[in-house]
Amino acid sequence: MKNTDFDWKPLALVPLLALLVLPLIGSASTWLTLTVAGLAMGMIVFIIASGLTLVFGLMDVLNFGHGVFIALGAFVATTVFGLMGDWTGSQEIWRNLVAVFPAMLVAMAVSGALGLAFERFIVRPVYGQHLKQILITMGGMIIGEELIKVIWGPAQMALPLPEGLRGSLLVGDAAIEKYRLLAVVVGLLVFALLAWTLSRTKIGLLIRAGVQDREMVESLGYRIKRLFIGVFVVGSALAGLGGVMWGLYQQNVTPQMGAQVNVLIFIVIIIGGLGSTGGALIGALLVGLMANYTGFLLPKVALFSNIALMVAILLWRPQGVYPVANR
Amino acid sequence: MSFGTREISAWRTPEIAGLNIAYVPENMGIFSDLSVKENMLLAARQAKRASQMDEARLQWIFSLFPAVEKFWNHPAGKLSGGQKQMLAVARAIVEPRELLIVDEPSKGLAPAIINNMIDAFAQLKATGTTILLVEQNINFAKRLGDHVAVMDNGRVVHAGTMKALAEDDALQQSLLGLAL
Repeated sequence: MKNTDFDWKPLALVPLLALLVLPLIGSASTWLTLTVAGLAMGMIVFIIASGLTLVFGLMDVLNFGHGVFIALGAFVATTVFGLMGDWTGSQEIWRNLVAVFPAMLVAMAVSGALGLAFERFIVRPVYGQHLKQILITMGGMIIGEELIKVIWGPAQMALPLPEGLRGSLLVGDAAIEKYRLLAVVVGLLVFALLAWTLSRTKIGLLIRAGVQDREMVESLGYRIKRLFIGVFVVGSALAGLGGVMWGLYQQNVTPQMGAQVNVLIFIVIIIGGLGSTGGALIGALLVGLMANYTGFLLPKVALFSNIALMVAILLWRPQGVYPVANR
Repeated sequence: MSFGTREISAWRTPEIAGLNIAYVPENMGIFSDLSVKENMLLAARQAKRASQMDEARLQWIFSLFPAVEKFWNHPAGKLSGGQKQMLAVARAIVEPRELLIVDEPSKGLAPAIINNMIDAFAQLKATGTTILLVEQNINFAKRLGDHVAVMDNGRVVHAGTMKALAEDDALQQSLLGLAL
């Protein structure tokens, strides 16, 4: 029996996919640009999906309304940016970053607060009833979208990148957008913080145990519902952060953006294995890369490609790449 | 249902566990993705980190169940059935508890391991822990029990002292023949 027998195969899928498409794309510089774009998109999707997978893992709650936190976060960012025009318009990158971070923090706070209310009034009455969860959380998202329209109006709004984050860095012939590098860095920071919390703290231990067997956690004397509320709020706040990043990635926001991203994040958590954050990271990176590669190679099948990816992975591992034990 | 002076019928599971009651379910309830250490740490409600667990008590547990120490940093899912059972009991007693509820601990275990288990329960009993043991192996139960209730089909068909049951072969025959 080995002490740690890490299952590296799913992790190897990410570089494998990247290397497989290299000959198809032909040009190394285009490949590098697409790969960085894919990784950036993957990290943003991961930030959004990480909370959702834990929410499902802990309490078997299917939250189809997760997208509303994405849209809310992005719209809150437009308001914060509007208030900080001097800072976002500055040529100095540190001033831009000073504007981006409060936007992220406020978006997280507002989305987290909505998450608290969402859990209390929408999710709690339907614990253990999947069909009702799907219907009522989708309903909650529609109401959320309409409220966003009431506050910010129904039209698409621009969320321009701050001056200093626009443009690209040249690596050889490859142009790599600065913002995408920032997205990868923020994504890695969130992943590191999440991984640290889950593996090194008692709260994280409780979450990992609760995902496997919540009844046993309760009979050890812990109130799993409180833990779940905490995870739900943090997951909503992370979706808000992801919304800001997604909005900046697209450079515009619409009230329906959450519903659009929803499909992607469900693909991601299914690929990853429901309840697994490590799996969600792999799933998100694969989805991000796949979307960018097929967008370049075969634009017509771009949407279908992620579904195909999910089907292929489920044929290989029907419970996702990192199945959670005891489920 | 009451525990001590408290009426607990309507209490929720975590509240009941909070009364210093530990439970070892029949399926052992081991978290397979977590290490043996993490399984133990979860049950140690007073400790936030492994280093905060009561070292003397851990050493005592290790002496009862050496496998727990041997596989301390290994994933619990990789343990054998007997080792998992030992971990389940070790986890339940990582902190002193007033009542230990154990559901069929001898099921599927080798006789040598059952003896270890009986020793461990006997030591716990000597420290003043009450043990409520659900057990189908009468020879196991005989060596530990003060009181006994024999159940058949969800009903108590006999209740009394273990000593009286252990000494009455005819009664044992008639009672244990019931469910067979």
